[in-house]
Amino acid sequence: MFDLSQLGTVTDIFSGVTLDGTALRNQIAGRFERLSSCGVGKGDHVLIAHGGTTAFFVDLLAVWLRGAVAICVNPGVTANELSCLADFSKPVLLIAGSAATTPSGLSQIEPGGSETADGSLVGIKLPFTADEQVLVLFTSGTTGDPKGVVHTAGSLFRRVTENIKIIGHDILENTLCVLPTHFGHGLIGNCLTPLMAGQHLHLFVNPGLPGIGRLSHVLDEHKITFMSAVPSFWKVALKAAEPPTFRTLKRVQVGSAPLSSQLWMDIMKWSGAQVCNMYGITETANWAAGACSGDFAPEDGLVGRMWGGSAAVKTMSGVISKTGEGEILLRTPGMMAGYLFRDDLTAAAMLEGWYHTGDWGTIDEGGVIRLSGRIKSEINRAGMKVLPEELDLLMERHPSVLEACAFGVPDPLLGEAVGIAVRLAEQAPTVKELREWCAERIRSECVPERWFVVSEIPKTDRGKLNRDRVRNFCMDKSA
Amino acid sequence: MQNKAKKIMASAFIVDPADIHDGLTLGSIREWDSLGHMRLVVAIEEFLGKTLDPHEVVAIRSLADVSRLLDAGDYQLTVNHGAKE
Repeated sequence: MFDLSQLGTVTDIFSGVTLDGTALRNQIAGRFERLSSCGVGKGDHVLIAHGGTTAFFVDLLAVWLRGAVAICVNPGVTANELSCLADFSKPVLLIAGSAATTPSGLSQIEPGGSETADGSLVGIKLPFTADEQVLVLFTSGTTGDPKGVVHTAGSLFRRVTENIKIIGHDILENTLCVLPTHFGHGLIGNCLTPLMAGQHLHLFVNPGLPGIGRLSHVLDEHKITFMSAVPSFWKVALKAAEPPTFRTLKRVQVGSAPLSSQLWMDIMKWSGAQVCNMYGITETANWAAGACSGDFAPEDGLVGRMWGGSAAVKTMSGVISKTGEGEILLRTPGMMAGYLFRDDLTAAAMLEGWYHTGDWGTIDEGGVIRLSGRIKSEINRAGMKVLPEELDLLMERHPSVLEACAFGVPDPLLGEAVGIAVRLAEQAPTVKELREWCAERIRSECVPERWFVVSEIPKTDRGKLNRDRVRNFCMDKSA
Repeated sequence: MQNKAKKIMASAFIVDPADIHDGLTLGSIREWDSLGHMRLVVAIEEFLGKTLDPHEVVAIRSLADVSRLLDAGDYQLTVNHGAKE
């Protein structure tokens, strides 16, 4: 299990704060005492609504040292969403910045980093058995029925251990994280992996345009050897940043959204590094398979071989096979324990011993996976998953929205943008007003970019919604 | 050229042209984030018929910057290819 004596160093590039393993353990020890005084104990849920800083890792590891479950949420959630998540997940404590609106009845403390104690006095082994819950990451439903992926100490440990083995200890020497830390890809793959390998994690989270513009400077200055990001990050970086002067990058991983072969090759050229297209899902504790340049020629949809575990396809006829075409099914070392308090969702996703990904593709005789589409309606906006049903329900709470139907719209930059068709009552608000109403209630990546005001939302012959059909209808009308 | 800049920006950010006010700067509206910025860059490149350099991409911070880029591009196009339609 995780051993805090092996913790690496973490640097926040924005603030300049660096904590080596000893300093990190001392701050964790100080935070451990604070959590103890707040009554946090074994198995309790603690909501962490901040991230991307050294303080986040102090809080996360202190929560784990108390034997509690860390529920890491997007710091950008609205007050309503935070309240919804707190009602659902029943935490004993919220750790968030002062700007957060504390849900009623919940105690809140500020992010850690100000308390220190002798780190050698606290235990160095996290007090969990392999099947005990340690982490919850919400993938959707923050306005209604939250969908929280639960990981155990065992699933995280196995995933991180495999990552270190496959990527290589030395390649992780100086790892850059540009991804949010409430995101499985960012937290587990990009941060916990190098930290638990005892290597140096450099945080450059959500750098925005000015930060991306100086990416090459950051890579050169910190001698970055490894990083992972989503395709849309690279679309911005390749436009806004000059290539690095010193070719320190050894490996770049790209995941969470489809990577085109052209972008794959452009990143290889820009970085001079081995570039891997990764297949990962929060439910599998991120990276489950990967295809790296050198082993494979870039190809649209190619995600390579499994990183531990096994994959199969469920064909159109419902047969599960090791090769062929169908829905991709996974069994991985990092598989989740289930969805928090939602046995119904867990049962629907974990059928016949396989996790049903909702991705459509092929597996060849060599075990190489290629993805070709989705059979679930979920929208993948630059790697962030948006559940259209959740948006429908949210918008239909607006007094002037009679009916709403959200869907993904192909977008050259995001992969998919969020679109929505709305049927409005008389004296309807403007699209701008609807957008603002929406933005007050849901995190920014879920606010639709494309709005279609329609007099009727088309249905199937059976009167049901078909999102592809609604999207085509709206796109044709706006063409 | 400021009207053209406003049109391009409204289209890139998928907002009403009336929302593109004179003092608009990077990050001052939700739609002008790094991804919105890239849409804007692509639109400017299409208008100018050339690829912007990385330093030009990160130097765009305001409506005035976009207008200046379009003005300069328009001047170049006129010099190189004669009067534009």
